[in-house]
Amino acid sequence: MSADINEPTAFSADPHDRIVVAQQLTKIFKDFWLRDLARAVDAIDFEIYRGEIFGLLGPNGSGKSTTIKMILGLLRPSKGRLAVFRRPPSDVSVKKRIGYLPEESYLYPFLNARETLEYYGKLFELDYKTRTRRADELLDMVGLAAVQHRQIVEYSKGMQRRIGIAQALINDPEFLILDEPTTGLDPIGTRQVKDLITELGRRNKTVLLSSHLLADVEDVVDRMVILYGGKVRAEGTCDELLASKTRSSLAIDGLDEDTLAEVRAVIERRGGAIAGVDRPRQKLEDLFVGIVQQAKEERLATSGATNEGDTAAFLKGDEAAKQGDELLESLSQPEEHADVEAPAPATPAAPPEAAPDVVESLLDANTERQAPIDAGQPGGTPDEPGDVDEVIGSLLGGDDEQATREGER
Amino acid sequence: MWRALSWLNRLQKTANFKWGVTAFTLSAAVFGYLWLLNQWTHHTDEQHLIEFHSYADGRELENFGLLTDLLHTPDLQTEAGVVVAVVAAAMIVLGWLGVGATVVGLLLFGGLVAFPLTFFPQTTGLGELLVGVIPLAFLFTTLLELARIALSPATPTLAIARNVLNEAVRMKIALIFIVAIMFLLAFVPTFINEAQPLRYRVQQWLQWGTGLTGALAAMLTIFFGCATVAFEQRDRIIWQTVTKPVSSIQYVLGKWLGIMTVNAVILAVMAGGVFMFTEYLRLQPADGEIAHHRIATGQSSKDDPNLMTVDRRLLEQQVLVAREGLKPESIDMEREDIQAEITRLVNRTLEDIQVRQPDREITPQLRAETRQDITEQIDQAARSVQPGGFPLILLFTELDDVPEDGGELTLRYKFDAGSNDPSVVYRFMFVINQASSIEQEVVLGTTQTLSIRPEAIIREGENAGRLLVEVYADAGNRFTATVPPDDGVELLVTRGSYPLNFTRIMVVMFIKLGFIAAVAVMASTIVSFPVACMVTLIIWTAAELSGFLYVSLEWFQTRTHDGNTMWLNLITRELARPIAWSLRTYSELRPNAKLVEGRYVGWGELAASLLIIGAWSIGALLIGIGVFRKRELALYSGK
Repeated sequence: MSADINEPTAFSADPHDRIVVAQQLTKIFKDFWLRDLARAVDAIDFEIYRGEIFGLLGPNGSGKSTTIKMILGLLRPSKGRLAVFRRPPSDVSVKKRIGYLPEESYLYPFLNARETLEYYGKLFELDYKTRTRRADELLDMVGLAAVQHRQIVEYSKGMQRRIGIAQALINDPEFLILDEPTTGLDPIGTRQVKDLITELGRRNKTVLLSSHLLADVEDVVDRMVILYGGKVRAEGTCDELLASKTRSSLAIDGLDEDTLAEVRAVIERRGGAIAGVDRPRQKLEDLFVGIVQQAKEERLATSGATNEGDTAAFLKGDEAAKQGDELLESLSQPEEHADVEAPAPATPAAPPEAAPDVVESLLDANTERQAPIDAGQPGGTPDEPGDVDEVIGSLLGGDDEQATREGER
Repeated sequence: MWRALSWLNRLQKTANFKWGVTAFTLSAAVFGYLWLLNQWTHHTDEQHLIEFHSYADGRELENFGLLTDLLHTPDLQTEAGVVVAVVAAAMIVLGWLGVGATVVGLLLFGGLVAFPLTFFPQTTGLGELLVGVIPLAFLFTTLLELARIALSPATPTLAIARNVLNEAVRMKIALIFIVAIMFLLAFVPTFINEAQPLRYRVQQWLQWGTGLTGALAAMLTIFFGCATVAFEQRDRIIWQTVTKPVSSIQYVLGKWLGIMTVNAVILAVMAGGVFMFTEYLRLQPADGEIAHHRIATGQSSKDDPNLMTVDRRLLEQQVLVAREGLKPESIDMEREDIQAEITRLVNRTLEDIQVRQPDREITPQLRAETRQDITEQIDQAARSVQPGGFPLILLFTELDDVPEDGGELTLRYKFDAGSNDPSVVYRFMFVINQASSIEQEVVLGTTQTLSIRPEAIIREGENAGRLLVEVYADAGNRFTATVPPDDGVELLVTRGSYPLNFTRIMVVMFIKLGFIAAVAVMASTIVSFPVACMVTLIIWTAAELSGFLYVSLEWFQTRTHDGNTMWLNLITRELARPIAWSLRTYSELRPNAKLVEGRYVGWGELAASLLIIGAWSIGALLIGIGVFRKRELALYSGK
């Protein structure tokens, strides 16, 4: 490791407000005799910008967790540069702004859920009122309010995961690191985590999401890197990496055979062809959530975690929680500014690599994030379905028109 | 059941419950006091009192006289009011500490289970044991809550310390020790032999009460101290803590502080238990007494100390005291005339050698060795007494501050002669200030005591503050008797009160535990739990034995018979010597032995031990912090 690694001044002139900067980051594990044991991370470069939801993908052993542990200061880089909030990861002050959920829930088994949140709240030196209010809201959010006085050792894996998520949020972190956050969670918990991530993104929080459950990642991330063998294999936004350049899809309510024939004719007239026509299917996750929602409405009892919790008010920045947020702001802002060498821009700077309009739309609203224009997605209908010819024509009209349409989304 | 207890525990910590306790206690206090006043108003005349305070068969209550006296005291109502107010205040404080239900539960358990058990012959022992445990449990719970409150501010160090406290109470490894300490303290009194003189009973109680619980506290510190850090790393729980804004210093200090808080609570429980039961024993009749300080004739030895029985006197003046051991003045071997005499003897010895061995060269080394031998011989001669010969002179000075009416002085001495045949008794005559004499029969090699009244100290003139003791050996003694150089003789003088000395001794124990805790934390930052325990045990043992080790190192051979240097031995000795010297303070403190022997631990000694052991503890913690700072807490998980 070179002497100037993590030099705080190295990023002082950063125009893009980068939360994490990794340059040629390498981690080589050594054995007792200092011989190379494994090169877990191999000269990777990536940056995470303020306000983005960043995905770190890869199969088991690809270096995701090692990278995260280096960001957290649990491991030291063997080579390369790594800075978090323009500071070395080992800098204690940096950790005030970070929330971390490890891949497994490593919690004190002798504490109960409330005591756990109390403990971690104290580590952030949160005052009693803030600690209590946040603990209340987080326990409600993760559905453990009813079992908050049971010791963690009695919790199921999923319940431990939920309290793990709650502790990661106790400081209302600017930068949230989630290592396999949906592992061990039921589908509703998974949905809640995804909603939470979306909510945090909406509040301009930065989220680093590591997972090998690609569907979970796809739903929420703005940009991602895919690791394999400790190296970066692909990097970009979801659209850059996933959008098909050769195919288009429409989702239309109740299309009868005549209309379909008419659409087919229009397409053929324009030189295109329909590859197939399907009845759109509901996602299994949506079906499951619907069933549980119905059961809840029928007041069926459960002894485990409940799923009633909305995202904690202090995390949403709702009007209802305005007072709390103001308190939080007043408590946290001066310290945060003190830690940053150069003040953060008033409005979040868009990453240069990502298309600004796409990122803006992703950050804009939760509902938009969950409305892809896919024939298989319910609710993915265009806002104002005009003339069929016009719509299809605009879709097939060329790249410029497509980009314009996406920009409007 | 645990769920219900847990619920009750949470309930007693709620504000509503605390207000409820306050309201109930205040109401009970006011109504109770008014009821008492009412009773007194209606039973002021003697006849009513007799009716009210008599058994059905007309027998008077045993404390009737006292009660009558009390009721005729003009300030009684005020005093009773004060008592009621103090009890009520204590109950309210306990309620607000969040232990109101616990106290009620313990009282109910004591009243309904433990106390009734003492009435049945088969369960008397168990009942007494449980009755003994209840006040200790009450003390433990209350102190634990106080400790929790003290550690409640929202800082990382205190949060970690409080978490350690919770861990100690809730995890088996520490809880077993805590429960064992409480039961042991309650159990020890049950096997004290009541046929023994009272002073021995008290000493036995002090020995076992503090010795066993102190040893258990040390074990708890070692095992729990290692577990709380090592298991956290093993189970990766530490990741969640160190990824928060917690520095290495805060983490290590927090752990140490938590362990020391547990120790403080345990030591306080132990101290409270030991002190209270000692005071209870003190109130028991000594040998020759029919009641506390009351001899067979019914007279009180408190009013006339001359009536005090030997057992009571030894208990009050030699056990439950704080006495300092003073060494007699020794010969200044550097004195000019002595040095001249030594030189003369050396020259004569070397001349003799030359006469007997003309070929032998008188080297500087031979001269130095001869001088050393002769010096040692003179020193030994000054500590020896020949049968029927000149006396051994023991001069004690600077005794001006010993009060004439203070506790008696005790001369502790030991004589070696020949092979210390235990079947032989030597006779000596002790002459005090050339005025009074006492004959003593002595078993060789064992410590003997001789009581001397403080009036014997010279109070006036140029010899004020001096005590001269001349020891003559009986002509019938077979060999010359010699006092061993270090612990052969000392004069024990009362220096302070027993309660204060007891407190200081407890502080000494706490300081010693602090060092063990620091070593345990340090070791477990480096190695795994079992290795850390082993390392800590070794260091603890070495520290306890360091006094012996230091003396042994003086005799550690570093040269062969041919005069060649044994390098390995030399390096070992030179490395071990400063460590043993530094740790010697640790072993010399011996709080348990000092308590049993009624030895004085001064503030100076306390401060010195705090400095030296504190420095070692800080050193150990600094190593732990350094290791933590450098260490990667996550490991390669690929294999």
